[in-house]
Amino acid sequence: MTRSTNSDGRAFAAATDRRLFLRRGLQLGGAALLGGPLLAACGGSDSSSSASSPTASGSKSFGELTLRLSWIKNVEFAGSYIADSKGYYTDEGFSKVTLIGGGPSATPMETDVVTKKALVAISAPDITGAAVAKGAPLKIIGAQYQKNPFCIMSMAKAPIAKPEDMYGKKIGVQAGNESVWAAYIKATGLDASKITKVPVQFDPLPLTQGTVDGWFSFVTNEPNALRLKGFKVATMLLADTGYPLVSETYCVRQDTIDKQRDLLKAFLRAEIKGWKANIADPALGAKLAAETYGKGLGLTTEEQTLESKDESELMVSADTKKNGLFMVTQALIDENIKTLKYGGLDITAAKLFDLSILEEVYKENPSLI
Amino acid sequence: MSTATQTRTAPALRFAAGVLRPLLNVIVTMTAVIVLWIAFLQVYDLDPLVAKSPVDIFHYLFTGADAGAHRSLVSSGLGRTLLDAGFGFVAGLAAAVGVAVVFVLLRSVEQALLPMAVVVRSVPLVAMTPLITLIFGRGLMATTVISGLIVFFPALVTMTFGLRSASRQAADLCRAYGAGDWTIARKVMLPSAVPAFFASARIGVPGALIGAMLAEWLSTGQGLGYAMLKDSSTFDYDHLWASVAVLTAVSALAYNIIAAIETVALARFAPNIRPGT
Repeated sequence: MTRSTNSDGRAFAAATDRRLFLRRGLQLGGAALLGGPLLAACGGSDSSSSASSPTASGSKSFGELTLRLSWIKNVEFAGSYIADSKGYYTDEGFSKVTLIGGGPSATPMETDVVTKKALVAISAPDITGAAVAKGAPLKIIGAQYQKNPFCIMSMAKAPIAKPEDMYGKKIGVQAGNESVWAAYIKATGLDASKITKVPVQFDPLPLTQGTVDGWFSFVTNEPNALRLKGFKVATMLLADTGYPLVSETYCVRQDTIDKQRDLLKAFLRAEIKGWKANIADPALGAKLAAETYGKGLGLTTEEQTLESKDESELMVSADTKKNGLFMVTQALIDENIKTLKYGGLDITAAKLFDLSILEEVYKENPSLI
Repeated sequence: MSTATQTRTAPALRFAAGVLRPLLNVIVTMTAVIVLWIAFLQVYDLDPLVAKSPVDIFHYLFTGADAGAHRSLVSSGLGRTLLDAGFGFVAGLAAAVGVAVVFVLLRSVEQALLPMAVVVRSVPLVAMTPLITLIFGRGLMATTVISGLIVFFPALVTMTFGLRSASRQAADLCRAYGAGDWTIARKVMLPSAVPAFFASARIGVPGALIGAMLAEWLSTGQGLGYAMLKDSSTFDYDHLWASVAVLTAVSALAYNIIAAIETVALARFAPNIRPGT
């Protein structure tokens, strides 16, 4: 009974939302029209290159692009949704872009790239690094999140505010995140024997029921979901407690870098434009996620907008303001390599990262920064 | 004289054949698996980084660097999984025998409970596991219950059928001498259900292993079930394939060991129980 009224309510909300969306869309369109000349005026050097590159890439046509996402199609990939729906990919010469969703039971991202099911995957340095160490010919060509998005979520009435607070408590960790957990324990010098690790899935129900005291998750995902359900939760970012590791990294095969450099540059340009649009208006990607790309996943625009805002905080730093989105400074790369070593992964920066493509993109189009 | 020796050597021969044939079966099964494995890799032209061949696994487990470490890693996981599966197997079979006897003796109980059992069995175990975890915790109890449930239902159906197939004349004879239901169940029905028991046991072996791994994956986080899940996120496909290979071998071996015991047991029981058939 309550269920049907609930879904009616949701349908009604969606309908009004859609109307709102149309109106907002028109407003945005107007803003874009007004802002168009202004933007062109700002990017003096860009106007020449962007005038030449679309024709150049347009004649080249890169064909279809397959992008493997690291999670279900939620707002985590807002920039890609915007790039797709606004035609940034097609502007760069792609005929079509297929976004392959992931999730708790999907094939690992690296496997999809190695077996050429996807050209690019969004992953993380620890997972890609593990694959590279096993001989997979992969490289990271950019990082969306400058800060690691993992956190320990706890209920606000028994908060875990610093790593030592976990002693004597039960922490729910998902199998796919075990390697991050193990590396974090080593990086912070915690005594693992004093913490009870409990295998869990991705629904944070056990935390709200008190069967675990802490929950391993993305700071953007589960905490916001619980907050909207009325739970008061606290979060402790791994990044703030001694775990510097970029995340949501672009992973490609080495032979793609060698043979299809122009394609990767075109792809990165489209992604940069998409993400810049989302950072400017976090609700934009949230709407696309809830109503179009992630339709049927039960996402709400409200919750997705909260996530979207949190994402921007992880993506934008003083460095990216200077060097552009997705860029990783040499200092941060070195810290990453050190963090990976804590996780038992001994790998050199040159074997895992190749940011030269992104550097070229920004050199050719400085206005994208 | 000659007939005497014949009768003496015949059971011995039968015994030897009964024990040796299952062992031969294991070898045949494993050879077939390896041939299919190689053919599969050839036909689908899979990336060698992801799809490992039998040679890769042999190298990983026996001849390569760190082979000893790999072996101990796989065997410690296997030990855990076998323990989990073993408890589930025994518990599931014992429960099936007990419930089947009650069902056969008390028809009303069967009519009341069998539909419920069918409903419980129809809920996918993956969906039921979180509930079982909530009730029984994350220890051996949970793995035993999950693994036992998979063994229980097919065994229950087979055992009920086996108990029912007991000779009616034998039961009538016992009744004529004043035996009660319980005595008839013990002296007539249970011995005649021995073939059904072994059939359920054989079917139960792979089921118990699957249940144990499911429980490890969703609940306890130990053993090969969880390790294999972790392997895919750490790109450790050598360990993943090695685990699958070892589990297949162990499952085939256990199945055939039970088959061997079955041959011996039936040679002793079957002729005595139903001389007519």
